[in-house]
Amino acid sequence: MSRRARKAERLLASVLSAPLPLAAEPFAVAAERLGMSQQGVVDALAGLIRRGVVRRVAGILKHDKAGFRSNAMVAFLVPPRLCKKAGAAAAAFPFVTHCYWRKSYPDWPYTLYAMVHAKSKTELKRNIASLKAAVQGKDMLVLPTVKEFKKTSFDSRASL
Amino acid sequence: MTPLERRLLNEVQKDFPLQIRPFRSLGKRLGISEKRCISLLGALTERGILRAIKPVFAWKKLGFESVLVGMEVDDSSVTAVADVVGRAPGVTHNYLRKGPLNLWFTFTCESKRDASHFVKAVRALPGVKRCRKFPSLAIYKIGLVLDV
Repeated sequence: MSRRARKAERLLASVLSAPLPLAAEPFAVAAERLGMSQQGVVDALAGLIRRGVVRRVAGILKHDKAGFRSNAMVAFLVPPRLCKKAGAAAAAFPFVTHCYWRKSYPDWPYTLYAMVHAKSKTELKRNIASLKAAVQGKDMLVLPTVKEFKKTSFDSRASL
Repeated sequence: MTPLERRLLNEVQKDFPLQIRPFRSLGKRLGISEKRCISLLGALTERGILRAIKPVFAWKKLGFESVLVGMEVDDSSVTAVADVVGRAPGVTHNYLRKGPLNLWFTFTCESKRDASHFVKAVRALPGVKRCRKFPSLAIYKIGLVLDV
């Protein structure tokens, strides 16, 4: 992609990544800012989704306020060649919202990371036990969420 | 939350209609009017349950870098360090966790070099014992869909 095309796409992204106003025609603001029709904005979004630049358009919850008060990041020691299979097994659980294979270190051998959410501590324990059985890692480290200092979305405007 | 609010939250997380008037279609699925759909979503936002309805971008596809960083910070310094880290606009998530690395944040920026610079600066803060980058090698799920 050319520099100019990338810049144009980033500009589009910075406008479209704003929260949608809760109004009958929520794409009207972006349409005006971009000098496009509303259908043009909708079509542009559909195009970005097709190309994988936008994962989806969706409501995002504050999981703790939505009742998911017990949360943990769980890291597993899974050999790299088994990560894909273990990752798919972890991703299949509805209580797992994020799952990644990440870089490991000699003194930090964990490779597979999953975010686990639950409505209570008991439920969290149960979820982790189910996850552990499905992933079959050689080792597991549970990192419970103690406090959320910041949670926001990336704002690309500073980079334009 | 009422059963209707729960259904609405489950719907809006999964399948937001890409149309000029999406709340009309969304309302139709639940058997409510566009107006009622908008006012319910507004109330859920005011109560802090719904953060936003928005496109979720894969920033890496637009050339941005993103990395998870785990740190070991003294208990007495952790709030101060979290405060400094959180002030950086590229930091989108910042959590205190129980474990050998206790402060975890995600950082999105222009390049790998920018990420390394930021990590270096953070590592030099008082009370920081360890600071590690955990870039993702594969993504298996970024769902965020929770069954309310």
